[in-house]
Amino acid sequence: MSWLATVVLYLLHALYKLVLAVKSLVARFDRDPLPLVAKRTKIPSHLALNLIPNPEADEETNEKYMLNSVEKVAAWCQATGIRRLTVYDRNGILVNSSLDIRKRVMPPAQEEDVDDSPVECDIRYPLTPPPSDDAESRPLSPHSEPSIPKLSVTTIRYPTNSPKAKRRSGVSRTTSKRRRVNRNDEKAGETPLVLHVVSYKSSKPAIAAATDTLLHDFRKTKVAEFVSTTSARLAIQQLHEILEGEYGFPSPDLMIVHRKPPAGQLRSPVEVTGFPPWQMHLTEIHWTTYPRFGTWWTREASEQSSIEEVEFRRALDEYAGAQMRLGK
Amino acid sequence: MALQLISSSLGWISTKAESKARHGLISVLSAGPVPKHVAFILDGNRRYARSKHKAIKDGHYEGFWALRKMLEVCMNLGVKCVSAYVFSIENFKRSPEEVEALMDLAEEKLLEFARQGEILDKYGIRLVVVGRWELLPERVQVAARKALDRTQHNENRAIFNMCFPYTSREEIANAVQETIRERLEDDSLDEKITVEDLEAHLRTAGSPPLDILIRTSGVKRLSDYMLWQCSEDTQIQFSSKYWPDFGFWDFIPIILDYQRKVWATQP
Repeated sequence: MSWLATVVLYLLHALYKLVLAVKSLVARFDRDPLPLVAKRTKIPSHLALNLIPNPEADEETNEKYMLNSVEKVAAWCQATGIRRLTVYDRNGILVNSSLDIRKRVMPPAQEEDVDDSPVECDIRYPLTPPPSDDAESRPLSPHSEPSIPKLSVTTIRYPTNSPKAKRRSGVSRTTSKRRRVNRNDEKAGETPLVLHVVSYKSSKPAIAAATDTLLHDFRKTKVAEFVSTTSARLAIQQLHEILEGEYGFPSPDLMIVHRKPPAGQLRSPVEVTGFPPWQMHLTEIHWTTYPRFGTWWTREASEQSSIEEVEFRRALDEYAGAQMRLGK
Repeated sequence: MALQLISSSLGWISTKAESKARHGLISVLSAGPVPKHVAFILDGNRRYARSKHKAIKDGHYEGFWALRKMLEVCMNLGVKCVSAYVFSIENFKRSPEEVEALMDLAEEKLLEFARQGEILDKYGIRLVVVGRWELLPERVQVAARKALDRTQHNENRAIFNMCFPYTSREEIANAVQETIRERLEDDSLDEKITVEDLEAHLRTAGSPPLDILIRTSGVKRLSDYMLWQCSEDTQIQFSSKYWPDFGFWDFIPIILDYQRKVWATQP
């Protein structure tokens, strides 16, 4: 009778596909979201854009789509007052194109200074950590010169606030963070934007790297002391300081998960494709539940060259309506 | 009286028909790919209670019954591991009365598992209480130990992770601590810490990878639940229903979505 069950299952799936097709069609008539700069009850201070390439498109097409999307979303963030944007793709297409991103997101009038802007540091791999201070009586705090973890986060700031570009000189420490600072900071009226470019390397591998860092820092501590003095709250705090600190990136308020069309599926539940787990703990997640009608049944390349503004606006509207209870 | 008889007969027939339909559907769904590990964020008990003008405590009781029913559905379907976010460490911030009522409910149900354990025995489920035990009142810890003792000899056909009290960041931080402790104690271990090292020290280390995470009540965030486990290759489903209202018929499209994914990725 298992063949009968299999036949009925396929029929059930055919029926389900029909239901999804109807829902996708109906979704076209959803009310339009509010305009981009409309007043909303709340907007995220930090937005994450999680881009998923289309496996049926070639690498160049995916890269182009992603870069266009980053450029557009950065502009919309600046228009709506969102001050921090994290862009993620699992495979690091964006990280490899961070120079390109910097040029695209920078306002046109500042392009003349592009050549003058210094490259602050190159990616380097961790050296042996420096000798520690006497840590026997210090339960947890890192030594005076803690190691720098390999978190693989690229941060770009548009524009800086100080009169002169901040220059990180004499960086003899280990780092895998590439930081570029725009020297031209005299533009008035532009929302400053901090842009983090991350990939899977900043995800679980970064937590492993942070653990390595803590291990190096605690090497001289006796086990008994470590166990007795390390409270859970303190451990969380330490990890938080590393992963969301200067070399990492903080938790976004809202994440838009966007897959390059054609979607190839009528509807699929969201998957975050390896986005750094530590930073996701209170993040609102938005994605297009029902792909635009026509993008799921055609296998031809979509005309869409980037994420559309309507999706961004819909995400902001949804975020404005969300309630936070924080356990209470 | 005749009307009453007809009404109750129809009710009986309807219940029987629904039960038959459920069994039939489960057999049909089992003919396709079935997820190995499903996790639930049981959100909406209080809002459910308020919407029905009931006490908050009643909302939690009904939530427990919904969990029990879903556990049985999963077992019948062949899901090997079910995880449920029963109580967050952050929930200790709630009113003392509500926390006390939740601890009463936990103690009562854990003792029931320990005494009767019928659903756990029926499906050979090993119960795992995932979280920071030391934050629980002593009476709840005692009840949990009794329930665990009863199920440790189960055939291990399935696992039920009761995440209580739990947060994912605490779990990750604990895994970091344990990994560091292991390295400090044993110099022969490889110096470089890997993702797999941390994974082996998670509180859910014995469970299969997470296939589906379901959150009810319309909220679209993870609220510090299984962040590590669901960040890769996990379908995250958000249902608008309050948890006590979530049931078998809401679960079907979720299983169908999973099957569509598996078939789409097959060579």
